[in-house]
Amino acid sequence: MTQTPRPRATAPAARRTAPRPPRLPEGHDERAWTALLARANAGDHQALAALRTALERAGLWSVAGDLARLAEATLLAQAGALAAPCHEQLARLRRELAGERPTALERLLVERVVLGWLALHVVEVSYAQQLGRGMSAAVDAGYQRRLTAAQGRYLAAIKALAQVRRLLTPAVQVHIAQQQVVVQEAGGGEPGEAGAAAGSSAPAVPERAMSTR
Amino acid sequence: MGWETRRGRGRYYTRSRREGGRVVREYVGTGPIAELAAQADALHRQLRAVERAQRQAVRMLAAPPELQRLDRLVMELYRASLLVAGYHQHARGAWRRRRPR
Repeated sequence: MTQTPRPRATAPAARRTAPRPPRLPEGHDERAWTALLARANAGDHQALAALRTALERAGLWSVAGDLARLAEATLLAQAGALAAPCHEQLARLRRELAGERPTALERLLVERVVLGWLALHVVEVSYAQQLGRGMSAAVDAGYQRRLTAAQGRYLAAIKALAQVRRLLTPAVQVHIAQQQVVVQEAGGGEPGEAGAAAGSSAPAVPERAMSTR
Repeated sequence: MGWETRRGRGRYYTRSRREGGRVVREYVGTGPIAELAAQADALHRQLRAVERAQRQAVRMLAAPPELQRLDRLVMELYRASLLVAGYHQHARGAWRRRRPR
C-alpha cells in the first residue's frame, strides 16, 4: 500500500504573505546597549564615542521604521471596521506632529506618538462597546488595566517628543517690536506711508528679544 | 450535565462535577423543578461563555509585540541621542546639560 503525501500547498504561500519581524543589526545586543547607555550617562567618553558611531549607522533607524510599519498593520487589524477612519486620522496626526523638517529621531518619536494614540483608541472603542453590552467586574478590571497601560505608553511618547523638541532643536530668536513710531516726513506725506517705510527699514524703536525656549 | 432516561420513571436531570480528580454525578430530580434547574444551568453556561469571550477580547487588546519592541528601541535611540548631544539623565529623571570639565 502506498501512502500519498499530504499536500503542503498552503504553507509556503502563508509564509510568503506574513511579514517578518525586522532583525536588529549584527552585533546589537539589547543588554549590552543598556549597559553602554548607563556608562555614557555616567560620563564614560569611550561609551559616548561608541554610541555616536552606532547612531551614525543606518541599521537601528531602519529597523525601528520597519517595526513601526508592522505595529501599525497589527493595530489597524485590531481596529477592524474603524481601520479606514483611523488610517486618515493617523496621516493627519503624522503631518501635524512632524512639522516641516523633522530629524530622524523626531520622525520615530512621532511614529511612537501616533501608534500610541491608535493603540489607546482601539482599547477605548472596545471598552465603550462592551460597556453597552455589560460585563463582569473582572472583565472591567482587565479593560482598566489595558487602558492604563495604553495611556501610559501614549503619554510617555508625547513627553519624549516634547523633550527632544526642547533640548535638541536649535533655539530660534524672534524679535517683536514693542511700539511703532510713525514719523511724519517733511514735505507732507501720508502718515501711513511713513509708518510702512519705518517698519521695513532697520528698527529705530526698542525691541525685546524673545526666545522660544 | 444533562438528562437521563430511566425505565418507567421519566427523565432525570443530572449535573456532573469533578471532585478530587473523579467525576461525581448529582441527581437533581425530575419534573418542573428539574426543568427550571436545567434552564438555570444553561443560562449559567452561556454567561460563562460570554465572560470567557470577553476575557479573550481583553487579552487581545494587549500592545502587540512589534509595538513593545518599537517602544524599547525608540527609547534607546532617544536616550543615546540626548547623551551624544551632551545631556545626561539625573537619577532617571530630568535631562541636564553636562558640565564641561
